[in-house]
This record gives sequence, C-alpha cells and structure tokens, in this order.
Amino acid sequence: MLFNSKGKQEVTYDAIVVGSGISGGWAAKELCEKGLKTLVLERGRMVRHGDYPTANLEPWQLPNRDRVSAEEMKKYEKQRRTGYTIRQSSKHWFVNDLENPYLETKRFDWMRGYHVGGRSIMWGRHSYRWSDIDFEANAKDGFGVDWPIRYRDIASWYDYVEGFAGIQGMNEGLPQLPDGNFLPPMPLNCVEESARERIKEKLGRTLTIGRTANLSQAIHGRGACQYRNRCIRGCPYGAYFSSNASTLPAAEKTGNLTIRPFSIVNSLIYDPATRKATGVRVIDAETNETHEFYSNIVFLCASALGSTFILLNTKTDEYPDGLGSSSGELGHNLMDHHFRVGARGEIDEFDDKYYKGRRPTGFYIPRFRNIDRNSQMKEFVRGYGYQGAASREGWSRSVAEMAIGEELKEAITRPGSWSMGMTAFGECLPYHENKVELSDETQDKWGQPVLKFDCEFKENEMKMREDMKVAAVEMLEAAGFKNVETYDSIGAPGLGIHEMGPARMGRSPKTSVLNQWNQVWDAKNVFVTDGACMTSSACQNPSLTYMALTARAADYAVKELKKMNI
Amino acid sequence: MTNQSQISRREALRKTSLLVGSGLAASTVAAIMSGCQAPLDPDWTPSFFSVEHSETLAHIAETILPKTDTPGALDAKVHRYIDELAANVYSKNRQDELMSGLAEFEAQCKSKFSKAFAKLGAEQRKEFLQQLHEESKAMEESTGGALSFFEDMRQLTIAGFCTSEIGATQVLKYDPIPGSYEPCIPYEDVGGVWAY
Repeated sequence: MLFNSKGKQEVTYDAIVVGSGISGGWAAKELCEKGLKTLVLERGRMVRHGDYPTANLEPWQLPNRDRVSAEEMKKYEKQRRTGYTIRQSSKHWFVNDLENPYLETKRFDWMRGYHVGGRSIMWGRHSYRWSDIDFEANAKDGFGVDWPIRYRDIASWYDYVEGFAGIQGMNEGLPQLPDGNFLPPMPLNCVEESARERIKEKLGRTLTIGRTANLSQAIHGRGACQYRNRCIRGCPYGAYFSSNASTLPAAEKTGNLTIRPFSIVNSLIYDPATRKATGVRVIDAETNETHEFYSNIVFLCASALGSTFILLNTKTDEYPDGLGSSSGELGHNLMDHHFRVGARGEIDEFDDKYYKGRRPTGFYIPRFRNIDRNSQMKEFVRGYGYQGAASREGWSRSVAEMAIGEELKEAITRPGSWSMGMTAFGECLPYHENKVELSDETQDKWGQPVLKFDCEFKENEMKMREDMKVAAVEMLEAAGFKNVETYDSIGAPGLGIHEMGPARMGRSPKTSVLNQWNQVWDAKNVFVTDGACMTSSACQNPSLTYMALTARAADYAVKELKKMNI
Repeated sequence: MTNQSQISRREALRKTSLLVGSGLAASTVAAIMSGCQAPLDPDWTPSFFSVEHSETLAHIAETILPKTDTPGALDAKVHRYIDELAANVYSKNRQDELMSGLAEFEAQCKSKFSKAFAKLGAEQRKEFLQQLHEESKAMEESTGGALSFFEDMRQLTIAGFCTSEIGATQVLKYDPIPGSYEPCIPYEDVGGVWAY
C-alpha cells in the first residue's frame, strides 16, 4: 500500500462524497451548507458549468452531421445500445467501453458517463413524486421487503428539493402521483390538449404535462429555458437541473467544498474496532497512483451500480463478500424500468395549427392500474405510466408520392400531419436472483475487478406489457386518432437507465443493506443515497426521490455527528 | 465502355499529363478527362468517391432537389455530405452497396441514353430518375421494402439538404434560440416546416 506523502491531516475531511451526479451533488450541497468540510471524489474529468463543447453547434457544424464514425463507434459497443446517445454532440458524456468493461451472464445495458456531474448532465429530467401506493407496495403484495419509510417521511424533502432544483409541472390532485412545489407548467400543444380532454371524459385517466427539471422561469440565478431542446449537450443557460449548474456551485459557495476529479474510489477503509469506515482508497485515473482520504462520514453516491461495486470490493475479515453483505442482499434485487412499448396514431384535425419552439418535455399519463379496488388487474401486480408527445411530422417523413424535383422540394418545406405517440414505463419487481457480482475474469484499465450482470425481466413485467399496448391503443382511439399502431421492443434491463435496488433499504439488517436513514447496517457512518438504496422501483422516474432521500440522509447524518452517535 | 471512348480517354490522359505539370488541380484534370466540362465543385476533393463519381452524385442530388427561386442541393453541397458519410460513417458493406449501386446506375443510364448521367441535360436527368423512382416503388412492393439505390440517394439528398446550413436557414424555417414555446399557433404564422 502506498502512503500519502502529505500528512494525514491534509487528506482528512469531515465528509467524503463519492460521485458528483444527481445524488452526489445534493450530498455535497447539503453537507457543505451544514458546515462540513467535504471532499467530492469523481472518477472522471472535471466539467465546470458552461464546459459543454457542443451546446451551440448546428447540425452542419458537427462532423458527419452528428454521426460518429465506424472506427470511433468501436469504443461505444455497449453505450450505443440506446440508439440515441452516441452522437458527435453527446458522445463525450458516455464512457469508453473498452476501458470500462463489464460482463453479462444476461445482457444488461449499463449506460453511464464518468465526469463531474455524471448523468445529471444527460438525464431525461422527468421528476415525479412517489406515493404511499409505491412505498406500501412490497408490504401489500409480498414481493421484496417493506420500505422502512412512508410518504410522510419524505414529503417535506420533496418540497425542499423541488424548490431548489426547479421542477415545472401541473398539480392534478392524484393519490398515485402526489402534487408538488412546481414552477408554472410548460403548455400542452393543441393536439395534446384535445387528447387530455377526451381521455379524461371517456376513460377517466389524466394526461398532464411531463413534470421535468426544466426552468419555465429563471430561479436561483439560473436562466429560463430557451426551448432549444438540446439538454443532452449541457445547457449554457443552466435552465435544467444538473449538478454542474445547481448543487455544486451552491456547495462551492460555502467554501467547504473540495472536488477531486480522476479519483476512482476502489474501496472503503473499514475499522473493525469501531465498526465504521475511516475513509476511502482511491486510484488516480490518470497516474494510477493509490491515495487514501479520511473522513468522519462517507456518502456513497456513485450510482446504483458504482456504489454497489465499492461495497462489494470492500472485503474485510468480517465481511469477505463486501461491506454491507451480511444480509446476503448486497448486489441483489437489481431493477430497471421496462419500457419501449406503446402505440402511436395520426389525427387529421388541427392541420391549420403549428407550434414554435422545441419544448424539452412531453406529456405524462400517470399510473391508473392497481391503484384502488376498481383498478385491480388479475394478470399482474403494480403498474405503469406513459410518456409521449404530439407533433407535426417534419422533412424527415417519407414524402413517397413526390418523387423528385420542384414538387419534392415544395413538399419537404411543409409540415406533415399531426401524430401522437406514447411509451409506457413499467415497474419491475425486486427479484433476489436478479443480481450483480464482482468478477476477476476480466479487469478494467486500472486492474480492478469488474461487475458481472445476471438480470432479466420476468412474468409480471411481460404480462404488464400486454396491457401497456392495449391501454395505449384504447386511449389513442378515444382521443380520435387513426391508423393506430403498437410497438413492443423490450431491449434488455438497464436500457431505461433507472438502475435501482442492489443495496436496498429495509427494516431489518437480516434482509436489507441499509436502514431507514440510508445508513449501511454494518457501518453506520456510511450512507448510500443513490439508486442502490431503492427497495422497489415504482414506475415513476426515480431521480427526484434520490434527491429527496439524499437531502434527508445528509440532514440526519449531520445531526448524528453532532450527537456523537456516528 | 467502347473502344472509341477508351482511345479518347487515353488521348485525353496524354494531353492532361502536360497540364498536370502546369499545376491544375486534380479535380480539374478529372473534369477535363470526364468531358471537358467545368468542375462542379473545384475547391474540394472527395475523400471516398472519385471526382467523377462525386460529380455524378452532385447531379443526382441537384435533380432530386433542384435550385428554384431558393437554393438547391448543389448550392447546399449535398454531394460533400454523401462523401463524408461514405468515408467516415459507413461500414464496408454499406460502402460496397453504394459503389455497386452507382456502377449499375451509370450502366443503366448509358444503355438508355448512351451517355453518362453527368452528360445528360436537366430534362433527361429528371426523366431517368423518374423512371428509377417508378421501378423503385415496384421493387419495394415486391421485396417488402428493400432500399433501392435511387431511394437511398433520395433520402440522403433530403437529409443532407435539410441539415445543411443553406437548406436549414434559407429553405426551411430556422429558429436556433426560440426563447419561448408557443403550443398552438396558426400555421400561416410559421408558413413552412421547422428545420429541426
């Protein structure tokens, strides 16, 4: 082992936060604002707000009109599986698969980026509260273990994080999708508005604007959305929530923040005498040197799988399978939403209407199955929601009837007809056998073991998908759409980029990795507040819940520190 | 290719070897070799295609989306876009498909008009592409949607044109920083299709 050349004091902080994405950024902000000298360790490069090299480039200014060369694509053999992320304009936010391999007993699409800000730069921004229908689900139907918290435990934290992050949306008064502390909603267009009315009237379901972390008005020194819909490239206006534009500048302002990029946390340093972590072991990604950093508390916010890797790789005499493994659940119960199923249709009304601007969200249809006695389904438990949008087709539509020449040129300068599509996002149950483990069969660029995935969707998800198609058709037809077509292309787990569960919260150290405050049962000064902690997956996009759980855990951690309990 | 044209090409080559020494650009030389027409894009050298092939592609694109009272495919340099994709993005299979498609295209053109496509007049070019469009539609119906060379060219031309600066900003409606979202406005207020 290498020792730091500097004195131990120089590498000792009050708190260490591993990761700088959505959860890590929030942990940094909260801990710094509460007065803790905080070290944020990020395995990738530095990205300061504004370091978005492609944000203002037009299609003709990008090499190959935004397409990545066949040669370069070899670095992205797994990251390219989404079909939309590996472009000239966004490829720099995704990892090089050759340097960062993983193994797949069954296919798993692990989409990620290693840089300051993590996936908060290229996330989808949909932000929904979970309700007690979600927090009580495991207890009621017996899949997984009971969540150790209920909506009342997190509601005020949702208020808090929404106020800072800036979530635009509309309150609908639905028990399955609690109202929030929203900025003014971005509007539905005329076709969506008409669908909202008809679907409500005929089916009693709600179509609302997709609640997203996009600023419909300027707040906290960040600019309002300019409706360019280039979020994935990074926003020069700071008009959507990212760590870079929001939480990290707030943390920096306190004077308590240190960020160390290129710092791969290999494992925690565990002290069996105190049963606490004393710090972390870091590999410098550029020099390959090993360093140690010390702190009173550690927040693991390295992503569901990144944090799980660190716990699994912290092998001690007491816990040879990794810190937090005493329950036998560490690495298990891996979940992701299943999606890419739904329908689309055309409508021949509103041909005299169009829109201006590129709205960075669509609509959302909250869950309507298994939410009360009247909506019980025999075929499956839990539920799903839809994301979608209506738009007029552009020049990329096939203008088949106009072969060539002046007629074709004329045709491509006019918009096509209106169409509307919707894609369902469904809950995945927590199955113990869906797991990830460490493997030495191959190693990463730094000689570390890699994660090996064995995860699949099962019968409940498959039966749910049948209903997802049927209900989408039902709604489009109720709303007056024609030529309605369904699609179903499940892909593999991971593609939803909502990995959850491999270090779940619970009520007992025998069946869970974390307690109700996100503390590792086996080391109480270690908190895990990213997707790893999730006890079930619900069907809503999960990032807002990571934000709320992180702020709540940071508040608890500082109180416990002051009480000398950890 | 007939013996006659081989001889004349050899003759041309002999003559141009003198010109090379005087410092003419390779594209100019090629243009001279291909029939003494002025090069379509003299300041540029293709990466993947020969100059001759690239000129054929430029003529195909211009026939598909011609200059009218607004700029056309040649103004938007659509042939450069096709060359860029072929050189950098396409797989070997896709490249081969494009090359054999182009060869067959020229062979068909010569059997119909006894001339290379680039040497046809604008009306003949249009007539030939219209014919290919009809054949392409029939083929799609019988093969269940396989992409013909013509349809490939048509789609590449549309995409290349609409994502070019000239196409996006002068022919389509271009609004890089809208600043607001107007969800439902009369179509006449826009009067065209958004570039993106």
